[in-house]
Amino acid sequence: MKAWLRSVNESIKPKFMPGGTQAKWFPIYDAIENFIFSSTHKTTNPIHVRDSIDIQRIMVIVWLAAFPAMFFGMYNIGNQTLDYFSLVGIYNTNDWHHVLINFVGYTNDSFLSKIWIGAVYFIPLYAVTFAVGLLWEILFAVVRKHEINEGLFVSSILFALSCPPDLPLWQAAMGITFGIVIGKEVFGGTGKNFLNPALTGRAFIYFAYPSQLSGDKVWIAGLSDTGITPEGFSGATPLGYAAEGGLQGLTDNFSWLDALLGNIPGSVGETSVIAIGIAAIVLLATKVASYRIILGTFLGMIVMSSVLNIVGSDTNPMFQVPWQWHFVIGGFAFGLVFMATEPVSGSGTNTGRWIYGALIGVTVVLIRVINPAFPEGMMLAILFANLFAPVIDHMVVSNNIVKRRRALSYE
Amino acid sequence: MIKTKKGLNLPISGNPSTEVDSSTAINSIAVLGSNYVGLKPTMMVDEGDAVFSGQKLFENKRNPGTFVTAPSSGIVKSINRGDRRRFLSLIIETDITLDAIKFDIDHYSNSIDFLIDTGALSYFRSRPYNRIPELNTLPSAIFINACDTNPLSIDPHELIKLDQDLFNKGLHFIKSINSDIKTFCSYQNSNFDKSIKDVRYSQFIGPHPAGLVGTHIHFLHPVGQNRSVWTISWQEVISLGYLLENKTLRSEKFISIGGPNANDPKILKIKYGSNLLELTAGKILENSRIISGSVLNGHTGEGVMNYLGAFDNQVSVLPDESNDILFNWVMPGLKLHSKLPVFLSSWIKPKEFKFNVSMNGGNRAIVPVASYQEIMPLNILTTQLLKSLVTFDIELGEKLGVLELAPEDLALASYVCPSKYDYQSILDTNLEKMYEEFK
Repeated sequence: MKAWLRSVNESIKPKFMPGGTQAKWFPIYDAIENFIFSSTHKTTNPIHVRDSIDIQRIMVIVWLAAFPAMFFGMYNIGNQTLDYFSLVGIYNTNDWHHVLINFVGYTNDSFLSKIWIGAVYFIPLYAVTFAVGLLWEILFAVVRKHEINEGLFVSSILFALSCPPDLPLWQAAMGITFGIVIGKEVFGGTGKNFLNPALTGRAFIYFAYPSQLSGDKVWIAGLSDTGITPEGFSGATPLGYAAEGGLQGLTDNFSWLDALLGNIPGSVGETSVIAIGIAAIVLLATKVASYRIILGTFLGMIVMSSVLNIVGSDTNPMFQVPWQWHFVIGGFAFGLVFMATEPVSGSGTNTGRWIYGALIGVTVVLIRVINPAFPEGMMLAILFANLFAPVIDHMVVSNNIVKRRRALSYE
Repeated sequence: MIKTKKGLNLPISGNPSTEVDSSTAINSIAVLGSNYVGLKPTMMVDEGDAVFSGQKLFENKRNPGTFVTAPSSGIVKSINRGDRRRFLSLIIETDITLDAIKFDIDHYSNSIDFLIDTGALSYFRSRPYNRIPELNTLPSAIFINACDTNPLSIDPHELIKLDQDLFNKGLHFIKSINSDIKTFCSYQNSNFDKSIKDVRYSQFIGPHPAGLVGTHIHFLHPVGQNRSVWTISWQEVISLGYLLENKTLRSEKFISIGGPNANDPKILKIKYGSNLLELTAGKILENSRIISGSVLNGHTGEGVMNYLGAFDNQVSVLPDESNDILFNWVMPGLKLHSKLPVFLSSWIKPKEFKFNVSMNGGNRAIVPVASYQEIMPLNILTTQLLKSLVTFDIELGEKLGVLELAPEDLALASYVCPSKYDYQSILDTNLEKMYEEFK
């Protein structure tokens, strides 16, 4: 099998090499070759052995780490939708999703049915995101004659998981386009971006299509199709409730355990802290993610929310929400594990990573609590910290330079 | 004692034993241009000339008054040049019937003149810039390195004790060059002979690069634009002692041969600049890459460069093949080594890996992974320094400590780089640029 694949590869390879008939499509050929075969390049002077790690491996680890959150997300979409349907008594809205869902059929309490419903919503969303992202990657790789970077795997799945389940697909396409092109490729591609590409895309659709993305109608798949909100049901996320009613609003509608497990409305991948926790273990064990950023963010969030708990407010009920609730609602855990730890747009020094993390933790609570316009703070907090990362690094570097000077003048 | 924690000892198979084998016959030796950083030679011999051990072969045009001398007597077979007439190698067919030139220290008014005339000045290198020392300036310190933590190396202590008198004689000479110059000697083994007075002995313990002289300088007497030191390795200290004792150049040295493709990894006593084919004949497997130096920082023995480097104390032999794995990105990687625990091998921890010359990935932009900082025991912000190097920002680089480094100090950074940069060559280019700007 391997020998046969190799021989097929050797026979078509010359076409894509410089001078071949398909030479300009080399990046596509190269990407497919890298997908199937390991690199056969040999080392040159002066270094003769190389670590077996490469960027592909790192990206694939992050991509695979997102799978538990993805599968739970699909289950949760189905779960929330079925709950809602049984509440309003409508089972087919004639939206294309539902035509497809009914084509196979489902039963109300079956686990598989919930996954199936979730898949009908999520897989097209992910497919569109990936395809559009890939298109841009190929375009830039071919025009700029560089290799297609595996970072797309990560950007696309994280973008898709951070979207609400019922996002119109064309908006997903617009979002990932903005993320890949403006967030990454115009600066030279993965490794040269100063913002997290997935978050850049997510922020773009948040501000560009606020009617779809900031209301209460998008968090449950199917709700926007029926348009029916029965009394006592809003479809809002826990963050929405918290903004209205503070801690009381949260505990009236959800239990903390449900929020931890993820049985709440929200973006596809962000609801289950447990599924995200599995990813955190994988990323920390492989040292792909920096524990300094994760701990820094966590501490920053705890300190800031505790300060606001103590300060208190008569008019803003959000002040009372304690840190353990901030931890389990909204995009905090998802952003913490997958977005804040992105090494390129984050701080690059070890000391800087603590400060960078703390800045995210403090900012997310400030935006959630103090800012009335945006209930979700994680996305903006991370982007804000991305912008500050070079400044933080500059301070750490300057400090190191001063210390080095002192060492030299010593004696 | 200075203990370092950060770094990496490559778990590579084929570690040499301490058995010394002096039976290898060598008939062809060479002096390589790549031994001497920033070299522009003015040749003083021609092809076909008979040269005597200790005879001047060329002068360095960029550092006038410094010479490299023939390590053994023989006939100059060829002088090889590469692109843009860059000097590659001067090959000598050795001839034992030719005498060696005698040098008597008593005939010289000072020790520097002695070093220049014998060519032994080229045993030293200055830091910053890693070149043959310049004549008009004396260093503030001289570092004698009696450590070796490179992959497949052995503790030099084992070999120094065979020639302890010569080593101490050389050390005593270095200490006496000038009383203003501090003399540092770093070693690994606690039993190391520390008998020379006024030499500052320090023990270094830790994973590679704890044994590199760049590490020692950083902790004991850091250098920069306004302070330079000379460095010399234990091997050349013995050679210096030999020169003082016998009045001729020491033509032989100890090296270790090791690696997955070495049949019988051990110590060899062979000529300076030995031909690598002669050196390895019958000692290695087929389809091997022969490397003069360590697997992290050495040159492949090929064509006119198929000779042992002047400063290389080891020859490493690797299988000349790359990994061929289908769908490697999702495979567990039981036999693949990595500094980051991204393969299953990091959890089952095999004692040794059979390394080969696989690149293991494509070229990408730098992604600041954790491993860069984990291999750097020096107080240097590695990721930032590497970025300043690849962008050739020499001003920032200087502030971050580039002048403290020689390519060997960044070898591990190249090793762990998931983007497959070659920081050693990039550092070379940066140092050349800095030399032009700052000097």
